[in-house]
Amino acid sequence: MEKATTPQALLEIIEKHEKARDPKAVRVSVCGGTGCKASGATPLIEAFRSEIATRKLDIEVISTGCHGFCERGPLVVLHPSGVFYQKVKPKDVGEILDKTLAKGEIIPRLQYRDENRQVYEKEKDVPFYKHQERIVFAMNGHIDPTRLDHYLSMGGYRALAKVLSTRTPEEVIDEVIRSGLRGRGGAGFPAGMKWKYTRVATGTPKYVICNADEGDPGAFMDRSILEGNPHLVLEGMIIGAFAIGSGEGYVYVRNEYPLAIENLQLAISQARELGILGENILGTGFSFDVKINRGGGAFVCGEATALVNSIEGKRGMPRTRPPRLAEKGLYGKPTNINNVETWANVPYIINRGVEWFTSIGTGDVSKNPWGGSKGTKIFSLVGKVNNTGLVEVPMGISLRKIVFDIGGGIKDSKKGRTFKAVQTGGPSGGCIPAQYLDHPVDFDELSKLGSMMGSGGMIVMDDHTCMVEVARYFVDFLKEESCGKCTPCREGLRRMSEILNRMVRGEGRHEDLELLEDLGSLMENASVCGLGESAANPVLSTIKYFKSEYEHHIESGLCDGRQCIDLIRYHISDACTGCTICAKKCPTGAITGENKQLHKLDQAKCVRCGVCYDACNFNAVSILSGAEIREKLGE
Amino acid sequence: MVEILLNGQKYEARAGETILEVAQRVGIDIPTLCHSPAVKPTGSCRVCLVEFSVRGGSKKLTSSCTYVVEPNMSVETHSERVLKHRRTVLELLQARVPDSPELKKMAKDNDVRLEPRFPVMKEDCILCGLCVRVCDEVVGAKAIELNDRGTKLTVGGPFMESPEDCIGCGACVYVCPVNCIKMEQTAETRKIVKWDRELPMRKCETCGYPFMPNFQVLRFKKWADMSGDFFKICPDCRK
Ligand SMILES: Cc1cc2nc3c(=O)[nH]c(=O)nc-3n(C[C@H](O)[C@H](O)[C@H](O)COP(=O)(O)O)c2cc1C
Ligand code: SF4
Ligand code: SF4
Ligand code: SF4
Ligand code: SF4
Ligand code: FES
Ligand code: FES
Repeated sequence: MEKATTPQALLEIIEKHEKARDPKAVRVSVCGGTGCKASGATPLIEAFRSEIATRKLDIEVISTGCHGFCERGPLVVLHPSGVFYQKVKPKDVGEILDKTLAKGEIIPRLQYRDENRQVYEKEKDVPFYKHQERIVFAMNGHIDPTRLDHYLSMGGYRALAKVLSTRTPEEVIDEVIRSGLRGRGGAGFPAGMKWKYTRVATGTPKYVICNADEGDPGAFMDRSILEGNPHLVLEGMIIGAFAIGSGEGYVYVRNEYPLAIENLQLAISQARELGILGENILGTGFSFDVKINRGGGAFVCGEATALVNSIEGKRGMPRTRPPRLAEKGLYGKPTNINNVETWANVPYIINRGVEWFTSIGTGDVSKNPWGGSKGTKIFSLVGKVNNTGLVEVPMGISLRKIVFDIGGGIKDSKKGRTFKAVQTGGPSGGCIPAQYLDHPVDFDELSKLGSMMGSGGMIVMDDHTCMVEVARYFVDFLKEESCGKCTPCREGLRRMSEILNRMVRGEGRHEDLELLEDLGSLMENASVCGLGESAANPVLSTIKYFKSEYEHHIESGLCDGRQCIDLIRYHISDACTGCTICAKKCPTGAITGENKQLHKLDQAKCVRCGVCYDACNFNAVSILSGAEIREKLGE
Repeated sequence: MVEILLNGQKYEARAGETILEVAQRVGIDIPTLCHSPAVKPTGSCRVCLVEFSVRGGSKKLTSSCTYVVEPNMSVETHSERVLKHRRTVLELLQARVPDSPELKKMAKDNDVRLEPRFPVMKEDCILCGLCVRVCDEVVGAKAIELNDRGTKLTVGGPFMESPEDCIGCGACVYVCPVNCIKMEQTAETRKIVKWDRELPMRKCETCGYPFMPNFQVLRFKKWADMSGDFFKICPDCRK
């Protein structure tokens, strides 16, 4: 790659690559993201390349970043037609070349089918993608993240060239403030405001940091962005550093993300070669470089002040604020931290403008950057939905659209499963019940419902979920992940865990609810950092929306979700046809019975694994709880 | 100078002073556990909670030992909200460390219920981290640290082994707000019981008094680049 020495020269290089890209060229995009690699993308890419070489075809094979629909991987998209194949294996390659690429014939076996067996030919028509608005993810799926020329051919680094040739730092900050861009790492703080505070703070050097810790075990959008389009994040950071007046940047990325680290490392060296990182960038006098810092992996290390301590080589324990990091951050110097997705939005805002960005989303940010939520947000949709994966949607979209249109609705709805709640924001998010499915999703609305944007995690739960157990599960996670420094969070979580563990065993007491609420209120109000402040969300939100489930556990040992092992019994009813399938599948031999005879279930041997319940085709196995146990089993 | 309202009264605060420092200076009593003027505050224990607002904005709770006063600030040190949460903090600490006279007194002074609503543990340490900070910031030995995290957090030597860098100075013993670090001293040895650190003593060549652990002498010589002779006699005989 030639080196650009002026913004104009950079523009010329970009234009050259844009022109060289033929949008009508035949390309095979194979997802080479972490998820698809795990399901066999690497040999698949090899197979495409060698087969195309053997046949001397003029087809480019692109190993792209994550497309978000990892559960269907390895994914293949054929361009320019847009034909979408899923779960593709190396042995399918010959057929794809012979039929689809040569003759336009579709291979039904590789097509995506939804839960109603409806088939979709093109990627853009697949419901999972159709209702998304992919901006940050727009290039994932089209470019090879290890190829700077690919990024440039899509107009990459145009925003940087524009900023360095036509903007002052103050103008950039003003633009980002007016765009209403709010931090995607959780708290939703207006990015431009934070940049401004850091710019005007006294002290040098100033640092910019990209937070790629992604401590929520269920979220992986930051990994997918870094892995699939590292130059986009770098471009955002370079623009931010220019605006803030920073010469040094860090990307704090968790060690478990080797591919993200590898691709980012490569991107950094490519950017240095191009002359957009290093001393005197494009002859403007602005110097900036980026280092990668590998994180140890604790959830709390993603909290901005703990992260700064961790980069300094100290324990990953949060600091009290104030002072703001913008005033006293890394090594005591003014520091600006943004999340991966926040940085990745910046080049788009510069390229397409404030008006375009503010046309997406909710509220009015023209007078107040807190006045709404603009742009898109990527969610990690998991749980009891038919389609899981990373979904990028406009702010303000309803939960219903995400869960039912994109997610394809509740898994096993044919077997009667229904929507119960969705937890948003990661381990310390709240659970939102069905009555709010039509509520718009944005920073402020989620907080109003007792949840949060948080990590962008979104876990869908069905009617076979016990909300007390959900609260217990997350509290137990958080009590291990809290840093332990402050009393409300450490001791509060310890006691919540004790209470909830008792409760799911059927040993709840009437005073427990008040106790949980007292602890929750203390944690929200008096903890040192956001972990403790939000850790009670799973508990308080489930008490708020599903109080009766708590009361049932306490009063009659009834688990509404039929999930708490100590409170349920499996039972075979008269509907049993004697098909013997449950008896065959039961791992402990608890079920006995002759062919075509009513089967019997020995409670003493049953470990309540649920295998018989899932196996029975006649709905003869039921799960009893509370009074039903006394009535039907006489226990 | 910064003017602030403390419980409705106007006070002059020096720039850079914390809310706690101003309160203590003007005689308003705020309980503290993890605070010592000798080291930097970390805001761990949360008993020094106060409620504040700036320019009539929304009221928030914060730790007064860490919060540096701001112009137009109004602080309540004993509002209903403060007292409620302070009591729950003390109740939680009491349930963890039930037998500390210091904690019991603080609980009583703050009207904390006598019987905590939680099962009582048998710990003696409230994890305030003062010992760690004093050993690091004042003594310079960095012998002890906080280990693990979350509800498994403990304090002690690295990996919870007896700390090899402990010089037996006793600063941690002195600073611990619940007196759970004990020192045992004989003519031959000094032991910091909590850290299981036992050090042979050096005797004064003049009066025979065991005035300092040998290891401490070694470290002082290293740190201060002093001659060995200086530590042969005790400070009293040196006068
Ligand atoms: C317990 C905890 C964990 C966090 N983890 C992350 C994380 O993994 N990634 C992230 O970007 N922000 C995380 N945050 C939010 C950061 O503290 C910080 O607000 C954010 O990185 C700022 O960037 P933004 O303004 O662009 O969102 C976490 C916060 C808390 C309280
Ligand atoms: S709130 Fe929790 S994670 Fe945050 S400082 Fe306190 S103990 Fe640590
Ligand atoms: S729940 Fe599991 S152990 Fe119990 S009877 Fe059914 S299959 Fe057997
Ligand atoms: S006695 Fe040991 S642990 Fe305690 S402050 Fe002195 S050197 Fe540190
Ligand atoms: S031993 Fe004492 S000083 Fe050290 S953390 Fe525990 S309570 Fe605090
Ligand atoms: S890794 Fe291929 S779709 Fe996510
Ligand atoms: S004394 Fe302020 S938090 Fe402990």
